[in-house]
Amino acid sequence: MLINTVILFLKDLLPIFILFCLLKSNIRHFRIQKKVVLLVLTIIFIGIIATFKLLPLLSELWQGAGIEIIQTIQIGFVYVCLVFSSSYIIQKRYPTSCQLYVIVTAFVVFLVLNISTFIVFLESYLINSESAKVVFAGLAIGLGISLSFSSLLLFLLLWLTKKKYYTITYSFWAFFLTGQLSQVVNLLQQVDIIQSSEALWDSSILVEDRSEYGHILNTLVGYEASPSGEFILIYLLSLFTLFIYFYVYSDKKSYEYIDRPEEKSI
Amino acid sequence: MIEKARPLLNLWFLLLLTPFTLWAKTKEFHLTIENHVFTPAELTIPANEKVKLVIYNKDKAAEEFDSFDLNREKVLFAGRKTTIFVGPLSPGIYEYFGEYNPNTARGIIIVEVNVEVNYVN
Repeated sequence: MLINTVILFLKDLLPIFILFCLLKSNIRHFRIQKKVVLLVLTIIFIGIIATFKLLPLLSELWQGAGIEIIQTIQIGFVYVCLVFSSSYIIQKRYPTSCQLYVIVTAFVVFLVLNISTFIVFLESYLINSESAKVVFAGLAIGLGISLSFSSLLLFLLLWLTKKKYYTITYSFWAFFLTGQLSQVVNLLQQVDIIQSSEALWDSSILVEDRSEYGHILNTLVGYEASPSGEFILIYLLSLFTLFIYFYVYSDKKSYEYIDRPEEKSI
Repeated sequence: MIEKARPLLNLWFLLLLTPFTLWAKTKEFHLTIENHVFTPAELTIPANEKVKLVIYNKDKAAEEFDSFDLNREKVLFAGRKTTIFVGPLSPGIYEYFGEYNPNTARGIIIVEVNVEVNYVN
């Protein structure tokens, strides 16, 4: 149960830490006012509780496809918001207030989506009160691993930005967003909204989905050992779109925060 | 440019989103989870066609149906039934487990070419 709690923590909550690192390394010289922080925390809290309470009902909507459809909309929304707001990363300039609001909204939706799923698991375990201590130990270990991993990742991303390896920094961003978006294919296939084909290959010999590396790679780049054709199609389309977007916008680089450091706030 | 490509894009999305159910009735198979154990633990389904798994959770706690082999992952809420579509699959053995209780909630789906279907509704 201990190991299982750690695995589920990493699976559901590590993406939040990674997204935070990506945002933190790319948004500099800005601060959020205390009242906005309070408002955001309240919305997150209400969102998580409401989603958690409504999940059983949502699961029965649209002939049992409710959760998948709603999660697809949420993931799509986060993807579009973060792609839209990432132009400032490519151009190395300050995000506009509008972009900051879009980023905060996307982060809130991403948080609610992942945490509410994790709370379903927590509730399921805590019904058995004997296992409470083990669950809390698992949570502590999961948090420790996530903090260590994200600290290293943040350090790497900040170093890459400082050295002006923007293509690599952007690649992290593109692969993470693509990995998140491609999860939509499996969600929609399991409720028969997208047709499902056989796996194109099986790379389990190299990295198994169930292994630690499999989980980490899945979170970072959306790795699947045996992806379907539809999964690969969406994956490649997203990567292609993001890199085209990168090259179009990178021609308009302004490097504002190198030339003119100033602080933005919302 | 976008206007010219629109019919092609529409056709692409239509092909992508059109499920096989338009052409064939999907066979239905049933699983139950009770006391954190899936029954039947071995389920045989036909190869090369999509099937519908209906899973009943008779426990008081939620469980998560998870299968790396099938690329499927879905929460089974307490006292409710859940539907998951799998396949078309090649003949073979595909493992699944309950992610919240992986030691007890385990099972396999055997995919065979000529299956005598016992769990079709």
